[in-house]
Amino acid sequence: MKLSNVAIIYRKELVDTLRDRRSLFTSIVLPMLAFPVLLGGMIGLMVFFAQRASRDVTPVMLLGEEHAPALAARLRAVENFKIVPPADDYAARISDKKLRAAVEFPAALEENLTARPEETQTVTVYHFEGEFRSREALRAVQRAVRDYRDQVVEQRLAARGLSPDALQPFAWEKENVASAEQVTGVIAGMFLPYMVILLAFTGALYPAIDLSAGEKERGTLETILASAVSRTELVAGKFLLVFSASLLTTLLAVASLAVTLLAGAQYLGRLTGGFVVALSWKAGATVFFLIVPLAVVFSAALLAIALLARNYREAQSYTTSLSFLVILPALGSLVPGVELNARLALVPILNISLAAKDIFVDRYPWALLGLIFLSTCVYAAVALWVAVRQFHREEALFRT
Amino acid sequence: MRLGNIAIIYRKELIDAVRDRRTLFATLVFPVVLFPLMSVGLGEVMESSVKRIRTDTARIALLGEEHAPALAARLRDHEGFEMVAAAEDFKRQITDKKLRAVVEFPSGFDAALAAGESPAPVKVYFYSAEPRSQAALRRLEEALREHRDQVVEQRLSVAGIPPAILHPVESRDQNVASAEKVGGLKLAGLLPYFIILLTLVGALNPAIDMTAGEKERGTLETILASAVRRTELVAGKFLLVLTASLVTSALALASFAFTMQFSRAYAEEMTRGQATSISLVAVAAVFFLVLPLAVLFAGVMLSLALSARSFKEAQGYTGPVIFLAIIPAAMALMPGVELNLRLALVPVVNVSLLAKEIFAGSYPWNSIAVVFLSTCVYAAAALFVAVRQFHREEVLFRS
Repeated sequence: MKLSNVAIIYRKELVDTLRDRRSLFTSIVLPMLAFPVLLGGMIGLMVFFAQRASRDVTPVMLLGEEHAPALAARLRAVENFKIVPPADDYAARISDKKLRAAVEFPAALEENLTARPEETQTVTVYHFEGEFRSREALRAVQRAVRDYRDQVVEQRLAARGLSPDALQPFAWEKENVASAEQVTGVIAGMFLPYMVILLAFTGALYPAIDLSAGEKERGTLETILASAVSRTELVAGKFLLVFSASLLTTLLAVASLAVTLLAGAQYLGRLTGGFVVALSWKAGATVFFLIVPLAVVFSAALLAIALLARNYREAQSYTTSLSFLVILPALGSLVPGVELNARLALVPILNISLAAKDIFVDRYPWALLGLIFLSTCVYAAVALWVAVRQFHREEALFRT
Repeated sequence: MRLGNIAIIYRKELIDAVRDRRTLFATLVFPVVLFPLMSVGLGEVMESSVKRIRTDTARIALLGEEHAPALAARLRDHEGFEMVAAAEDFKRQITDKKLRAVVEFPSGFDAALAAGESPAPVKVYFYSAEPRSQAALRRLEEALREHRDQVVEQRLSVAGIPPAILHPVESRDQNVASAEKVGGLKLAGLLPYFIILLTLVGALNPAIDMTAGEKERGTLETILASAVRRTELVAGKFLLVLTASLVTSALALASFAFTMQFSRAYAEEMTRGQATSISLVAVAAVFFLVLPLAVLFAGVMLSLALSARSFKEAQGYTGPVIFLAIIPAAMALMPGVELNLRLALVPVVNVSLLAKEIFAGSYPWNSIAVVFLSTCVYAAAALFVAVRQFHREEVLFRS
């Protein structure tokens, strides 16, 4: 194997790829735009609708208002509540979302509070279980009732010469021991590993198809096979291009994500209540170091599989099925509570997904990380070996 | 325009599509088997792991236990805790997930309580945003509240006051919506997203294959030279794309329903333990709304793919469309977004939101009419563009 031959093949493929501006756009620019647009769009819409929903007028009905004028006055004062006149069809109107909640006061509520203090008066709140705006209305009513209860209790205690402090004999404080980076890291560690792994895969996908099945389809594979380069050099050159495309796509997309997050940090901060975007360089570098052998696995496997196809379309149907085998383990980081151990460290893709989750919260279990790196290297070597083998098989090269 | 010719074109394209078994298989496997399996399977895994977090015992440590023997005993007796001795670097142990939480009692806690004074606050150390630590914190707070209520009751009874006076008023929430409405609510958000996206995905491959694919194979000229008119040609191709799109989403929906049967945990969470019966009427109504939407998608996909020179290029054009359709299709998944007259005119968003209403059991006929008609207008425009494209030589023979 001569390196200069590999370099020639690599350069040829690079020129080929770069010349096709349009597919360059779809494979590199589009994923870069994807994050700002999807993330920004989704979050923006959600904030927009959440704000609108919180400003929106909430129709609420009071039943038996005359039994509890003081509590009713509290409910009338709730922001955005619009009290509608009582009617019998409240249940149907709530189900139809015309009404968000109905509050029913028991007979003689406020008189009973003084007349029979040992009894608990129960206010019934009718609502639509699980429906977003109805739940908001229910919560607002519950808050108002709690406030009213506290006021009544305070008066009762005062009448007996006790201060309201008697109800709070002791208090507790919650202290978060994790740094802001670690808290952000838990959130980032859920979706970043998944995205990075998927990007490494999709980055390799198009070049791998184009350089194998695409060449078959264009009829240029025979030409290059007849040239003076050996098969192994050919595979090496093609593989290196697919590999660099995979890494480049990942890097660019992650950079664009970082820029999006930083640009939107203030916005996100308002949304999440103190979202701190602080991912360390060390974490980024470690994850990238783990992704490198994985990108080798993806590039080599995709080349080997796409070479089996006779044309572009067939190659795509093969690789679509493969992408599911990648997506499922990559989703491992999203499942709450799954933690890395020695056994899981040997499962390809899932191991990196889980390790990256740890790394983003500033935990570096070096022994496991070493195990993951080595095992992924072994998988990479196997995938490369298979790819080289495929390029030596005439049945694969000239399938009809 | 003669119907006979359209039927011939349709049959030709159908044979073409069905003959390629491998592609047919690959295009069907994705929506019919893998997509439902993935969404339900992932949901199942998520649910069961969330449930496990809730029920797993959490390892916690107590500091200064000697200051508060009563409270410490309550925590020890409380369900779901495993007590270990605290180390010096307990904060580090929490971030390393060796401990889920640590409770620190101030000195003289019990003595102050017994004397009727307020002791210094109890401190609870936890790891915010870490799900298992949050679960432990919730459980600790529950135990602390129980203890506080007990102390209050004791103090009141010592002062000769009945504890009942602490509960003058309470609120009780009662659901008035029917079980189907409540059960359908969560599923109602997911299904429209699912159906709209698959309608689009189902249209994708046939649309590319019958336009850019024909160009690439060099068969487009042959068919243009035949006796059928351009409009008949478009109509035949369009009808096949429409068929593929509707069949894909119908099959996916059926397979989704089938998969749900096997996933008890997920199904129960999704429907809050209520029996869900998405009625056949609702499904029929939604497909009636999806019909013009599928026409719109088929028209857009055909026009876009026809302007490409090759399969690969066509994919580059249509990829972004799918990408752009995700956001409006996902509108139904966003809590609190409801259909109004303005949103009823926005394509894709309107169908997504209306389908949610229908799956949740209500049929707002005015909105249904507005959404259906507006989507028909968009569909007609898309079809018109597609027909125009097939009449333009620059598009047909781009080089």
